[in-house]
Amino acid sequence: MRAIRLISAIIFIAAVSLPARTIRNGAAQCLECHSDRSSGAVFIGQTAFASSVHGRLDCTDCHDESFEEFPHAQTSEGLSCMDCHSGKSGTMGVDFDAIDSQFSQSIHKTRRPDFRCTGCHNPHSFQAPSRRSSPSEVLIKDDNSVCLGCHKRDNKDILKRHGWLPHAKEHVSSLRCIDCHADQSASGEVVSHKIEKSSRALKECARCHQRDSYLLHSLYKFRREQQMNQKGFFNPVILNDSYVIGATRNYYLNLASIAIAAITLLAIAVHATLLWKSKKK
Amino acid sequence: MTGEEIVKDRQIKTDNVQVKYALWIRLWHTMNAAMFILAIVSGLNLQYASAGSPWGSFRLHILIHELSGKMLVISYVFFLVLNAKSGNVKHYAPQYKGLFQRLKLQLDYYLSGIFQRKPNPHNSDSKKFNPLQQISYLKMMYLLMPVIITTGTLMMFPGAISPKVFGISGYLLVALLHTATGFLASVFLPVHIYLSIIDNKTRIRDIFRLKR
Repeated sequence: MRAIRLISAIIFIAAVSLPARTIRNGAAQCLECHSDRSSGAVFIGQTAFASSVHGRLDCTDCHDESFEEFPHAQTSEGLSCMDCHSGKSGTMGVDFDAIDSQFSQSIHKTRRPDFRCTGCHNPHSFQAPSRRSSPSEVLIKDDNSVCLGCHKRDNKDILKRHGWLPHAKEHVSSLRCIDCHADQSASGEVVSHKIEKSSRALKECARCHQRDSYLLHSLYKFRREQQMNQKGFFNPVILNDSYVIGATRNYYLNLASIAIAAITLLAIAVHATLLWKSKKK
Repeated sequence: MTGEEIVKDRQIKTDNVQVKYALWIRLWHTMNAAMFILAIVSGLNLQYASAGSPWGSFRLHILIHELSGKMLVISYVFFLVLNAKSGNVKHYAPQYKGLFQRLKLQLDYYLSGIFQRKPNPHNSDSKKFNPLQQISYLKMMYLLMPVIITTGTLMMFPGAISPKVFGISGYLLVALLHTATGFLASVFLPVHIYLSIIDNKTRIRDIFRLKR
């Protein structure tokens, strides 16, 4: 027992004393200017970059090597995320080809062919949703801030536009824009990137308010994969912090309620039959 | 059945004093019954919602459930006020003396006596409700209804719900209480209807009749 405690303590001390993700030398050199707002260079936050999914890359892994020279010979370049993120076996086993094909059908790409991944995802601070341990309230806010970055609307305007929804405030604050504004039928293994025009947004309440809720395939996708269990005491996926009418169901409670109702009706039927027979005598 | 029993049986039917209901009780009961049925049907459709359901859209059932809920609140307040003002509330007040004995007597009648044409013990007293009715109506109107109404109102104004109550989601707690109490009230309905059909002290048409 003491040995286990000792080993645990060593592992704990080693874990907390390990430095946070380190930025590579090449990147550190670039960040000398690029993390200094006063330099006038494109700003990249050091901490955000270090904790992002790309935090351990060198700048020239993505950017043209000519950027190593200063002053830089060019100011823009044709970057392609798919150079690295292609194929299903790509980063973290996410099917980026599927994402790319959904994205090419999205309203962003069809309206503006020059629209790129970086239009929404900042490569210098991007964190993969499945690896985020933050509560969904933070995730929702982060995710929606991407949309609201371009679609600048204040809260009042958002609520007005979504006024057709009962409890618009609760819907807007507990969902991501993409949960209704992306075609969830296209989502499959990945978060749907087929953003639709607003007139095609999801308006059928029961798509989310049912047992096989769309939310389990979108907002709660990652939690579902970890915790989905048909017979779990209260469906732990959604029930942690909310209640979705029609979607929040508990196997045992439903079973108990059906049994109680059936026994009651059966008892009435038996009683009525006996009464009827006794009157016939 | 012996001749004596037949005479006794007829006597029960003819001597039987029918319970009379005041106009406000009839009005309240009719409104309550209609709204309750709407709330149960729409509530079931919400709990077991599914896209493309043949029973109507989720949105429709939300509208029906909210409307019937609001009407039930109004009719409940109407009931509370007039029940107290008219003195009818005395029929709901439990009389603990000999309660267990009276409950057993009434239960024995429903479980065996009724099949042997024995007289309903309730017929021989002057009380409006038999002990089973008394206890179930009391629990229904003064325990279940306040919980259903409070939780239902909170669900209409979710902003008023505390997100965490003793570490559990407040939304879950309120919604679960609402569903569970709503379910219990729904199970009360078929039993209530059946017993009022077989009870010879009540004439169902008397409580729904709006004119004397």
